[in-house]
Amino acid sequence: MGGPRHKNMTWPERLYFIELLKGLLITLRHFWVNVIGFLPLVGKMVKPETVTYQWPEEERPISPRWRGKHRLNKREDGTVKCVACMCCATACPSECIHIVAGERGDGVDEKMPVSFEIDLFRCVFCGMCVEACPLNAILMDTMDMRFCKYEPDDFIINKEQLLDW
Amino acid sequence: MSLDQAFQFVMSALWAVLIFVGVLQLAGLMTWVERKLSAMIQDRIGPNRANIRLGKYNLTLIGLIHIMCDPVKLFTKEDFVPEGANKALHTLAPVIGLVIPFIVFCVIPFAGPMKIKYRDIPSAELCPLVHYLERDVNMAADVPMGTRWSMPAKDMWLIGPLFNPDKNAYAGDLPYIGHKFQRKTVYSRDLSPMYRLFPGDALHLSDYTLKFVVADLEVGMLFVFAIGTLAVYSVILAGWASNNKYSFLGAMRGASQMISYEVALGITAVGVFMIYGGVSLAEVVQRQGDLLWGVVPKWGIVTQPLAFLLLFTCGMAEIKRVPFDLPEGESEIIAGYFTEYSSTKFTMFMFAEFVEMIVLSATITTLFLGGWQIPWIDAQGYHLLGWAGAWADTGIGETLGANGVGLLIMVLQAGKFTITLLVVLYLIFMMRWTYPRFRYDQIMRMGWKMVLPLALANVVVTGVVLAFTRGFV
Repeated sequence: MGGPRHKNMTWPERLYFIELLKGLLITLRHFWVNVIGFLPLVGKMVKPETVTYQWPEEERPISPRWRGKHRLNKREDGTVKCVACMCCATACPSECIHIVAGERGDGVDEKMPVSFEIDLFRCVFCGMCVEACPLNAILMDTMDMRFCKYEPDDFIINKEQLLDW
Repeated sequence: MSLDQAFQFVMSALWAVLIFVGVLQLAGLMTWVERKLSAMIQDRIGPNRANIRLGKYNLTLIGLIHIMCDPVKLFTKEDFVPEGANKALHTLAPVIGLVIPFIVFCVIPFAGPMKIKYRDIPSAELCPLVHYLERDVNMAADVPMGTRWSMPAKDMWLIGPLFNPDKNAYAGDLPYIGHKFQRKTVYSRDLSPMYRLFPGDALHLSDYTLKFVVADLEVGMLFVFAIGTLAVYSVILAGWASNNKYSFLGAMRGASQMISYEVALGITAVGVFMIYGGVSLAEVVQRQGDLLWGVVPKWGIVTQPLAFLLLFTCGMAEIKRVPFDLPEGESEIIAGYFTEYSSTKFTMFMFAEFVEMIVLSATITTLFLGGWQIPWIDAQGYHLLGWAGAWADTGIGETLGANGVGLLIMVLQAGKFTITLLVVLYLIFMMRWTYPRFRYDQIMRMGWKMVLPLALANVVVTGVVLAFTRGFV
């Protein structure tokens, strides 16, 4: 529409109307490709450009680096791998890991956590506990993103829940 | 009022109901189209969650169930009137907004005039099932003694056994009047309600032209402009009565925008009137059936391409549709003039916008896309270059008869009008999801400095061309 800002436009561009038509053609293409793509039979020839995952019927693939709900790793005999060294609780920036250490007693190792609680409401899922762990005993790879509960207290998960994966 | 006029009146009322119901249905469907179409354009899926379970089947009907859920949600919300608002005007504004576009639709013909060649039907024959009258015989003093109460035997089987077991009451002389308390049911074709209303008149169906328009006004397009402008009252009243600064700002924007584009809208349409020689929409559409050089239909988009673009633009601005939706803007003035509306009243504003869109596409269809005119085909026959003929001479005419062909052509014309309307509607939807909205000063600059001069130039050029080519094209 004239004016100094439009000096570097060619005159068909400044005519404005042709550019409007071009824009309309782009949206028309998107519309028809998607509509035809969703028709049965024809849908195999024209692929719709939608990238929507129909969650919860359809799961989106999760990256292996994904950090989510924690779990406690086990030894080969099925007992807890953690030795209650407190590295994770020390590294945790939001102070959501509470460990009470105790004697293990079975000779495999000296210490084990008597109780291991993680407050998921406080947790920021930064993954520092996983990095700090010398034994690879705490992990965040449950790939479980649907932990909905009715009570706030249910979000403080204990040792049994952490071992149950 | 003659019987023919009464018939046209009844038909007009029928078309009014038809248009009202049809447009409302379409407007309801458009809420779904708006969502699904925008989803398709933006590579999304769109609404597909609302469903009806029938046994093991889970019907979502590609999101159509959502349009059933919408009204439930909207109508069950609290109908809120803000403190300090003018309650009467606050309620009146959405009503005006919704009623105006329906009135405009009245003058738009949706099918060509249909010639009926049947027979003249006397008024007495118009109520075949109702032309009996039950009354006390001793009250029938206005019927002279000896009047023959007749009912043809062919009608008797319909109502005789059903309503009166006394076979002697008809097909004979008037029963004895002197008996004071004698009560008989008598039948008379002459006493049928239609005969009483229109004595001696007949429905002249031997040569009748049925019009498919609610009101066939000579002023046609002027009526559309005059009534359409009243929609600005809805905006102003809503903004003023809400007692809200944002509402008022939105109303001011809306009003100035609508009034600015009103000027250009009127002048744009002048070019069309100059070509077709009248403002009556019936006439404009009728003339669009002509052919240019025997091939191209003389539609408005062919003769007035610039006016088509300008009127489309002005119309979009007039109904405040994106990219001209300045009166509402979430980041600046919330929802504009209907910020303070909820529940039913908000629904009315939303529906008014959809109905206005339908009316705009109907107007564009009528003025520029031939209205109900199907190219190369009319009620009489077909014609394209040398290939021409009348329906009566073809197999179609022989099979269906004159009235059958008329009905077929009418249905085709109504279908063509509807499809064209839907295509324009689709274009309006596509524009809403393609173009970014204007800034306020851009809208004003475009209205006054681009559209209006172009519209004026269009009128001048049309006039010059018409003056030089009269008689050639």
